[in-house]
Amino acid sequence: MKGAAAASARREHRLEAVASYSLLMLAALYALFPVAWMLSTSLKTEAEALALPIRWIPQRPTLQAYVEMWTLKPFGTYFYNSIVVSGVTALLSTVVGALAGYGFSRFQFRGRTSLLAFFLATQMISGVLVIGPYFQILAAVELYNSLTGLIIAYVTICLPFAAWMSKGYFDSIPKELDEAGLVDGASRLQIFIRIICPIAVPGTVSTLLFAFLLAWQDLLWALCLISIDEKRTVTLGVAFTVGEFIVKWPMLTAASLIGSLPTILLYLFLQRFYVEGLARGAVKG
Amino acid sequence: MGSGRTWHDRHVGYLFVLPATLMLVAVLVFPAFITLKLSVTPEGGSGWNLTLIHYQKAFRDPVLFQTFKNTFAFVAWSMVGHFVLGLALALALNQALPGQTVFRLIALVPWTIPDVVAGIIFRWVLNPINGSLNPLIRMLFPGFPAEFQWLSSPTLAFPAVIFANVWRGYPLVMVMLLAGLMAIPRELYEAAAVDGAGKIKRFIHVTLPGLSMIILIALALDMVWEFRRFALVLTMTGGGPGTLTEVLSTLVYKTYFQFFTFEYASAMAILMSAVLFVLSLPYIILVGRER
Amino acid sequence: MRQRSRWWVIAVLAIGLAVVLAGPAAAQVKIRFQTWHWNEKPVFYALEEFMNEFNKNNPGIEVVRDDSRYNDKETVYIAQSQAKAAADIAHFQHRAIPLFAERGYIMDLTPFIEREGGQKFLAQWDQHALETCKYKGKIYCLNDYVNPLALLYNTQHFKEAGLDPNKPPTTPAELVDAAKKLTRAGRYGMGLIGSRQEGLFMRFNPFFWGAGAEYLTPDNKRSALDTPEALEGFRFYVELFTKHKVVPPGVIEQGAQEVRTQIAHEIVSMEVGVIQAPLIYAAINPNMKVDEVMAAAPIPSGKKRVSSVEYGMRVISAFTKHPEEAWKVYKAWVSKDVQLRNFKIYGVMSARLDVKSSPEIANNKFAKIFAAQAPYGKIEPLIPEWPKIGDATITAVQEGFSGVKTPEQALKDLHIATNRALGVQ
Repeated sequence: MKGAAAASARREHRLEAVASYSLLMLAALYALFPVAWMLSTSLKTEAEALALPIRWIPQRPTLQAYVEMWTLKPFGTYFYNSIVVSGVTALLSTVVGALAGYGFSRFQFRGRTSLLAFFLATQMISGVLVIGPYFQILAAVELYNSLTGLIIAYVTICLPFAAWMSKGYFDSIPKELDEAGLVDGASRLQIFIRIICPIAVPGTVSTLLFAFLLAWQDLLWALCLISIDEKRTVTLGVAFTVGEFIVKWPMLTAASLIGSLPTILLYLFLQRFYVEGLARGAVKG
Repeated sequence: MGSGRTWHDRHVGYLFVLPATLMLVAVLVFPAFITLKLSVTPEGGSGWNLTLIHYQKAFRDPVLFQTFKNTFAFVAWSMVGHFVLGLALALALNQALPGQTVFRLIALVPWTIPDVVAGIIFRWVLNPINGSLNPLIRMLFPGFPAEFQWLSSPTLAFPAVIFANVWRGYPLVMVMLLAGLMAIPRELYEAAAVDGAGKIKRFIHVTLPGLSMIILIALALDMVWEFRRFALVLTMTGGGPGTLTEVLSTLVYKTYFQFFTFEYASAMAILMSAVLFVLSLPYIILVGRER
Repeated sequence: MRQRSRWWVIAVLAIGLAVVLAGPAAAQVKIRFQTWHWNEKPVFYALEEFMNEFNKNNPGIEVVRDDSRYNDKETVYIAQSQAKAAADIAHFQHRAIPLFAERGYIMDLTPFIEREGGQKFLAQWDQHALETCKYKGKIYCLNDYVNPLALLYNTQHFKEAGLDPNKPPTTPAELVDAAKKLTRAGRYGMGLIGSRQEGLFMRFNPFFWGAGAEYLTPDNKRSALDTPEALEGFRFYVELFTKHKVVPPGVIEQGAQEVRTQIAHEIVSMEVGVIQAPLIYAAINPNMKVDEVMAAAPIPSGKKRVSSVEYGMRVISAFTKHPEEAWKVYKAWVSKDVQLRNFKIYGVMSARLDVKSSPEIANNKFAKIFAAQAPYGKIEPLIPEWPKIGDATITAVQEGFSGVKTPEQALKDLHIATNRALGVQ
């Protein structure tokens, strides 16, 4: 009886693996085919990028675009700016958002649901209409053309997301853990930092990535708030490869691909970080 | 001691949410009020001479009406695509399969490409003359027409935009659901297996309930964010052919920055926010409910 | 605790030092000179030379480079103007002038012009072009360059199709005829723009106006799109794709650059293009012998000889903190020497009368034709409602191209939309 059950469990497991792999391969195809074209374009000269009929494999592959983005254009500066802005945005919004999420999760204070609604409602405000007034504020405090001005805007936009997400993850952590800490005489803040946060780290991954990417990829705010080259972000730099008459396709695609790397690296780093933390929680995978 | 603890609880709760609330009020609420005021100001006017003329115009505007319809379809289809693909991938990636990390990274890539770039690239890839998709399809199906139109076709343009938008947005849902899946303790699955539950029963009775709050939140946030998505649509089709792929966010952008009618754009944005708020009420109530 | 307070002291000192150092730097007046051309060669060289020369000759004023992006130059200007922090001098095309003027974003230059000699000063410019700088009795700019359009065609393709390369089409009917003959062997006769951009009007308008149609009544108060001429012009453009099939598929996705790429790769034989087009063809396809193969001709517009024209100009922000210095820079830019040098460096035609008639233009086979089109150049109505009407026009053209509506229906809806935009009930 046991042998048959084990055999059917194994077969079930294998079917599951096959199904999973097929799905993953299909998804990989979907995810990668535009990226493959971008890669192909990035290895061409500007003239070949526009050649007709199109060629997937460049006839004379060249790393020209990858070199020129650092030498002809200051993408080094752009990367520095983007990493600072996105990194600080990710950290700040995650921390402030987690605080708020914890408040929503654990405390039944008056006006709680209304405040939750307010947080979501602020996400519905169209960015287009906020930029003019926000710019007025920045100009008044001389934060125009500053990374700080950008960071404040991005963090504020990410906060509702961070708060809602954190609340969701905190809700799945049993309140008994908090109670245990209270019995031990810890303050609420200490419980938050020492007990809840370590377990909640997987939840923060999505918030960190979301905030990092939102700040990294934004064009409209950066476009309006930054007008000097030294403070430009990578996304702005990429946008500027589209001119009135010429689009520098190889540099556009090369810079976009390199621009994806920080997020990928961030995810790799975070992944290792939280997989270890999860071992405590006895979780599958 | 009981009532003292409750009072303290309420007090401390406010402190936790205070920093976030302050930032939101300082940065977003002031512009929101300016938008509201603009929407009831006559064009080019100032001061407190209020009028509802822009809202009247909005209700009679056929382009706005078509755009609302497009937007609902756009958001709904994108949410479905994100959710189905995100959940399926999260489930697939939650297993101890070899090569898991590589697949996770690959699945993440579309999220890392900015909207503007994604829009331009998809537009290029789908082009009948110099796009890379048609030749690929022809390799697999030689009968496929050589210069097949996607974004110029009145029937295929919208699905093509959905296709691109699902591509852009599914990793967010996937990452959220994956983290949620990881938080479900293995003991629950083992207990269900001991009770004789098969794969599907375990999914329905263990996975879904454990994931329910995250799913609700993911759907609510995705809905709000898809309403706001505009750079992708703008660069990919510009709203065309005609008005077939025009969505609210692109229309507001155009009305503000190209037509220079700030007041009308504000009225449209307020209407959009109102509709969005009504749509998210069920989520807010469900999420806010004490568990 | 002690660690922390030490950091605070250092932070305060650092900030104090920064403030002190940043203080007295403002002896130079900085004038932000904004254009998207900073990122385009060879225009960049003209700008750089101007900037260095002016800064050298005018100590106390510093011209500072400010980049904008062609696709969102208005967006950034609006956002920054609302915060009263727009660039001192910015570069726009004629369509933006009524809009910015109406909202009070740009400075009326009349006082400065009076100081320079009033009418005598203004007489140095093409008076036709100058109209685009005027709005409601005030004058907001002095024209920079003039960009008329012409027909560009591939003489080799003409020969191969049995057409005389020295006899390009002169009427719309001849254009269709030639395009049909040229549509063979994997090629298409005509490249058209169907994408949502200003370039679409530039190609559409000559045929529209050439048929005798107008967008609006002479008082600019009502739509004039319900005339048979309007239908004729509109239909002509749309049917090139839908009926005669001389335009490549995917027309709605085709912008100006895509059409130029098609010409450069000889997929398309004719287009209505800008004076910079030959240089761009060469940049796209270095193997194409542009000078030998391509030729220019007047646009076969129809009953009326007409071409599209685009004017470029700079404006001074109404919120500039240094109007006098900004005017100095402005005056230098539109001076004869600088304009002539600009033409030499990047081949664009100036609106200044003393620069327009220069030998370089007469000797270049392309420039000659383009220059000859300038007098026939017509522009869209210069009213603040134009962007809405223009957008609706593009929608109508796209609906016609994609077959969603018949040309008649599309034009009828455009007529209604135009009247709605003008506030006509």
